[in-house]
Amino acid sequence: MTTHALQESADERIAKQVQSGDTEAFGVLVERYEAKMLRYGRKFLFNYNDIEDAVQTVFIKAYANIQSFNVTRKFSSWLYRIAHNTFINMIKKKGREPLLFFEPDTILFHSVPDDRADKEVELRGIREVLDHGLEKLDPKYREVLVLYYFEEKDYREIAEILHVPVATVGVRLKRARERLKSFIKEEKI
Amino acid sequence: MLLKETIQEKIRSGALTMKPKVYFVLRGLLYLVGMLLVLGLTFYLIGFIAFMFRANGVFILPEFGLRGVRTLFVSLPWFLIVLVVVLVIILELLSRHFFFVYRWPIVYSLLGFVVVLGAGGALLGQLSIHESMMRLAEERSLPFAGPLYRHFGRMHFPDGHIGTILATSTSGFSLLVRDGNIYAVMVTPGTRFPHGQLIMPDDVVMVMGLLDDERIEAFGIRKIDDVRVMMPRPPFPSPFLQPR
Repeated sequence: MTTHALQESADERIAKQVQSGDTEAFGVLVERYEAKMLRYGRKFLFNYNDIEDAVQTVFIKAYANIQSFNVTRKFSSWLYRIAHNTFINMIKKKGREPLLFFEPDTILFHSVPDDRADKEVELRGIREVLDHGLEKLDPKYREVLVLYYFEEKDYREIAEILHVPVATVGVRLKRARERLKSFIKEEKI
Repeated sequence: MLLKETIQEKIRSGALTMKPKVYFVLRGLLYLVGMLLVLGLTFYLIGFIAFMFRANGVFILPEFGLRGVRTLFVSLPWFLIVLVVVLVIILELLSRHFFFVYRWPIVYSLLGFVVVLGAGGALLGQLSIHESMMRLAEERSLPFAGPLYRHFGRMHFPDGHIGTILATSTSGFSLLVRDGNIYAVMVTPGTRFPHGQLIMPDDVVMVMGLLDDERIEAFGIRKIDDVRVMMPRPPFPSPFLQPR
């Protein structure tokens, strides 16, 4: 396949090509996701210096494990899952922020709010506000905000990335926004 | 150097290699085998606990009221129960690796495990294989599970005594208990006993009351009709002789 044709292909198709031995095609995926991964990393790990190294690790892991990728599922969710694990490991290693082994909000059933309605109303100014308030939030709330508002993932994709029920994503987003609001109130932003 | 070039350079030089598909297939199989082993062990232990309860007449204890419930509580095999809880938690953690589990709240999958394991284990507890294994364990012919059966198989109740009535008298009866001892059971007007029920020699009963110098002042007596409660009968040809 030509480079141009590759550029037009879906991620999953390219991933399949890489699995079949066309290792050069992996470069297209790196090109496509480098900026996104850096943004995800910078927002989620704002407090850390070695984001570029972490993102490189994400792509190295993705290449090494590409044979485990199921091409009938979404490549971006799979890659974001690897990034999530890599970033969480980084936080654990540096030990700067608290991370629970077990998340209580995944225990019970919660109803799933309509994510589209929320998003359109709040998207306008929220990114700006988030930039000021993100660092005050726990990683689990920060990450869900980053994935939703900056990476523009829907509830289902976020649930796939974090390996939690869809309703838990809604609960975390709601709590994250409430915490952010109270922070904004306190700081008079 | 751009990230893309760095990665491609690593791939070309052989510094970065792809794990083969077979690696993931084997890893998945290993995971599955591990899960099945934990699942099998949990089923077996629940089945064993169900057998213990059945074979030791545990279900009769609550019939003696609060005293029976207290005896039941202190006699429960807590070590095995905690072990089962730990195994269920391990199963839950292992199963959250799969998308059809992590997409649901933990309480759902846990409930699923509890229902399936509880029902399956209770059914396994009804199998006569446990009786055979208990017999082999007591004959010291059961290599691996022997200590489990010998240590936990015969439950000891501090004030509950299961035995066969040898003979009756005006003041009570003599009771042959499972370890071969014979105790004199004193029946008083305060002894709790189901109205209209008669006890006769050869009946298997549970007597609730403290043992004092081979005498038991009976707080309560219940007949055991379940023929699968482990009882020796004279002249003790086997520790698993059926009571009827």
